[in-house]
Amino acid sequence: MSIFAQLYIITAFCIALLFEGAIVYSKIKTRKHSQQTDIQNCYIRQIVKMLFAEQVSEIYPHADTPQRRRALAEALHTVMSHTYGADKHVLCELIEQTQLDIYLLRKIKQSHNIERAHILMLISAMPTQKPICSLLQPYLYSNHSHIRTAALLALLATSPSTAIATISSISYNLTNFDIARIIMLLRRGILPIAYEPLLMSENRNLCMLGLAIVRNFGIEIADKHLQNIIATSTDYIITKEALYTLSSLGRPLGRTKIRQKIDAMPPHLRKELCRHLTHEGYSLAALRTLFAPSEMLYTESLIKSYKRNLECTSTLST
Amino acid sequence: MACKYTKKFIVTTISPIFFSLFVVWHIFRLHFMALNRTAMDNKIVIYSPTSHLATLIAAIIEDNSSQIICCTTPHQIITLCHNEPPSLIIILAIAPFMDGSNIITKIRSTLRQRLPIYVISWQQSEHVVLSLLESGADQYMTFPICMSRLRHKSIEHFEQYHLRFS
Repeated sequence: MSIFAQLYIITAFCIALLFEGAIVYSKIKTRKHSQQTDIQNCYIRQIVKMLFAEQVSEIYPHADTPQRRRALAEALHTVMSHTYGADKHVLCELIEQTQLDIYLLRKIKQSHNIERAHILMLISAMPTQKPICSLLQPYLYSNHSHIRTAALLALLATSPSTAIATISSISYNLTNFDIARIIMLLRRGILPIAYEPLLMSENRNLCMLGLAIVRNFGIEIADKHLQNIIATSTDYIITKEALYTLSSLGRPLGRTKIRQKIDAMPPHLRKELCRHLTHEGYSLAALRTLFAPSEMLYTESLIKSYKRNLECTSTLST
Repeated sequence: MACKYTKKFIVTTISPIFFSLFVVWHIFRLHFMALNRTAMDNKIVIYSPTSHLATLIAAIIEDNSSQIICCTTPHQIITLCHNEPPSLIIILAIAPFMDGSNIITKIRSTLRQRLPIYVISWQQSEHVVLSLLESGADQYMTFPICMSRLRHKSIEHFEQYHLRFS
């Protein structure tokens, strides 16, 4: 047998071995993942049972390995992030029993980037009695945006009483995504924040959070605050957000100062606003007072279009 | 003469016995049917693309008499509803831009029976809720949910369901 034939056979054998190895590895990984999912589902059932019974019982299988602790943390996060009104003492006892907080705090230091952000997110859903704020504080100024957001959420969840101070201490601007995550905490009843001081605050992040609260919870009595923000604010983004919030509440936009602000907007933003107001259900007569007839052509064609009709049918027929 | 006595015997003795036996049998039949319905009709189908969330909702609403089946595809729900119609369908719409109305429309168009459908989603905008209700959803709830409230709601639903059919 020539050397080329031998080389050919060896190469073919190696490739076959490589493929077999890859298949075996993927199968092992899938099996591990399904096992982890099963354990997590098992923990979710047990946590719900404990919360209904209002007492901690021993969990099975015991969370004695890193994989199981991770599954327990994920299960706790699933329960806590999708429900509200759960008895925190039961969960605190469970965390004490399994030493979950210590495990997660240790894991933050060992992990990096997205993994670190994920662990911080798990901590944000974990009610703990230990003072962990000082440990989370450094991550608030991380270069990684996901870590920053996760650390902020974890800090807000662990010490809700200092929420406003924490948000106002941030030097960077919160994105809409960050604010949406904070609103999720609010909807879970974790953050007891009133919207009025936030709207009156000069801090941009706090003001944006206040506007998001008004918009999400449909607080119609806040319309005077919103009108004042539109009339007085010099920050363009806050003015725009306040305008959109006011229109989402379906309030009139006929005040002179609001009209002046809309007139001062660049054409592409006026078009965007006009489209938004049409979708929010403002009448053509109301829009004619805000926009020029040339801009209204777009709105009229939008209302007459098939796309708009589709939206109209869902709202008008009910 | 004999015929007359036989006729009298049948009318006075055998007929009441048969009649009473028939009544007793009928009562037992209805009773067992009701029992069977209680065991079978507490069937809940939960649709969720992720198993964890379906497990959470199942854990909240399950009791000893209910049978909960979790589906991960709309096709599974429709097949399941065709074979054995459940008494409640819960749709967990968690994916962005997928509010669950397409699944409800599919269920409503393919099934003759009008099964109650609950939707639990993160979205709370008015047009999403209206489009869901228009496509045939009976209840709409938003995440995060109160566990005890959801359990009471499901218990209430089954009580009403059994009262209607008993």
